[in-house]
Amino acid sequence: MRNRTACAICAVLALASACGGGGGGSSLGPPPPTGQNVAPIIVDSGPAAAVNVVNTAYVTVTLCAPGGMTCQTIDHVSVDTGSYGFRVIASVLNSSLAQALPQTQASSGQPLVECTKFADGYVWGPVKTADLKISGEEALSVPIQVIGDSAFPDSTVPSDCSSAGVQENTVALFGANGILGIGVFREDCGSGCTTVVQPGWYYNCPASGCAGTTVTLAQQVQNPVFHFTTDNNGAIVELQSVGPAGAPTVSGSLVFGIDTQSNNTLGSATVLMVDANYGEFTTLFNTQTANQTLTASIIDSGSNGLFFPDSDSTMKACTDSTGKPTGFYCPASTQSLSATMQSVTSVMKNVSFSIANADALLGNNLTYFAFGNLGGSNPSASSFDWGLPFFYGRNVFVAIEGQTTSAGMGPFFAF
Amino acid sequence: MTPLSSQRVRAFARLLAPIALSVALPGITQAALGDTVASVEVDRVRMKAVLKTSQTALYTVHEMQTPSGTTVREFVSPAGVVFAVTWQGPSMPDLRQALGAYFLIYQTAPPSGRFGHSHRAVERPDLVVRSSGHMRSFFGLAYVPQLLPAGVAADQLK
Repeated sequence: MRNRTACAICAVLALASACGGGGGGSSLGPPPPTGQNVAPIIVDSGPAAAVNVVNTAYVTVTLCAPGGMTCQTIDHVSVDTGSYGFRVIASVLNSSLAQALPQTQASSGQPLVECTKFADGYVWGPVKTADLKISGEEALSVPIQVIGDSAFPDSTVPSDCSSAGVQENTVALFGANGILGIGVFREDCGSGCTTVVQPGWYYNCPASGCAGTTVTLAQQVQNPVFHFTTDNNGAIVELQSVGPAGAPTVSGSLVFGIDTQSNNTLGSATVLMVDANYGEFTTLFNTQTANQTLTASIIDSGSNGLFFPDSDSTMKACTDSTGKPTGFYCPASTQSLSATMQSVTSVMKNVSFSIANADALLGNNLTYFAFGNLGGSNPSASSFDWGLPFFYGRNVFVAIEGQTTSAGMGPFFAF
Repeated sequence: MTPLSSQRVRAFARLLAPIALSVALPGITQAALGDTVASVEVDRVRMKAVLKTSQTALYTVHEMQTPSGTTVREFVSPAGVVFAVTWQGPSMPDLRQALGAYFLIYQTAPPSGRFGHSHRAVERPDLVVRSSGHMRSFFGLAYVPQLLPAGVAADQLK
């Protein structure tokens, strides 16, 4: 690993590419796959309105009203293996499509509206029915969420939804025009929402106000991959590798299906089965001070760094101008580390990774939006969050629960 | 309710206990960060919840599981004040309840870094909140630095 300080100086001089091999760009790998099941991925600065985006992978989708007569192409939809279902920011939709998307009804016959919580906040908006087209694949008449729909303004947001903190109903705050949740589950909430009214999930919203409701599995916002006619057992996120200084952009492919075509073979990839409730596995990560068994680990393209507990004093926390930690790691020099992923069936896979000084990476490379060695603390003492840096230079398979593959039934990750 | 996997149960077993408040009951004062331990008992009675309490030399931990299966833990100092709250489980708990008077600070604080949706950290002299996780699995820690009992390291609160 080349010296971080020297690299920072290079970046200041805007000569990052002169700073050792590989700096400044993503490497050229094999030619990208082609086929009707392949959608291009780009990691870049995001939609124009977005700010502070880093390590976010985007695809373009075509969203249609059921029947396919009214459609719109939507770019900069983030690819998220840590969530389930398609969501779009309402302001992105043109008026004809916005009006043509039918509202999903709760079992009461009233509009069904969803609160989607992320760790950093929440989005709020109605469930609507749409045809989703990406590459040559189609998911027809699936429930999606329209975020920030004017029919359900802020005044309708229930307290146990807004209690998640920050509202992110705009492109600027959400960092994307939409999100394509293609993780290991078929629905976003699953069986947990079918018989118990979960606070902060689904709501029945008559004009008199919204109240929590149960929802059937079919009413929930759906992982669209599971609804494709073919290539519906999962997907592969394939991204080019990134040099130690990062890169302005990284390209890649979102390939649908696992072992359904010649371009999506599992081959010798290691299969890591995950638990059926959380989609998680165990990471064994030993630091200088502790042997950690992180049972709630995930491979999440929607996380923009490698996040793990900071029990190791060498993994110094970055601080802002007032001395407060920012959450990212700022080791004095780039740390080369390794951990072992352990599936729920005890398959083991060793993974090497590096953590560089986040202040140097982010502060000195303002036109770079892809960093393979960005990491930070994880407030959970039992989780290693393998975010987008893990995906660079890899083909990561995501198999959906209950779907058959050559390696058995999902849910699993493989790479 | 999502059942806990045996894997997760083992993870929980390593942890101390918590507390919790899950169902939003309008007009009811919930136990929350900075409140007294008496508010915990108010919750327990009104929510008909089974409260598990455990004690260390430095603090008492009150734990309750929400209807979603999420475990919330409140840490009470010897002075009887809730100085920290943690959560872990398939749904994010109602942070307005859990953080009480500190919720507004959390909600309006600018983000500390260029994070994606999987993390949010607020680090202030008067409040620290670290939230992380993904759909169906959320984790978090909130504490008031000035209220930490002597000898307690916030990072060790689980």
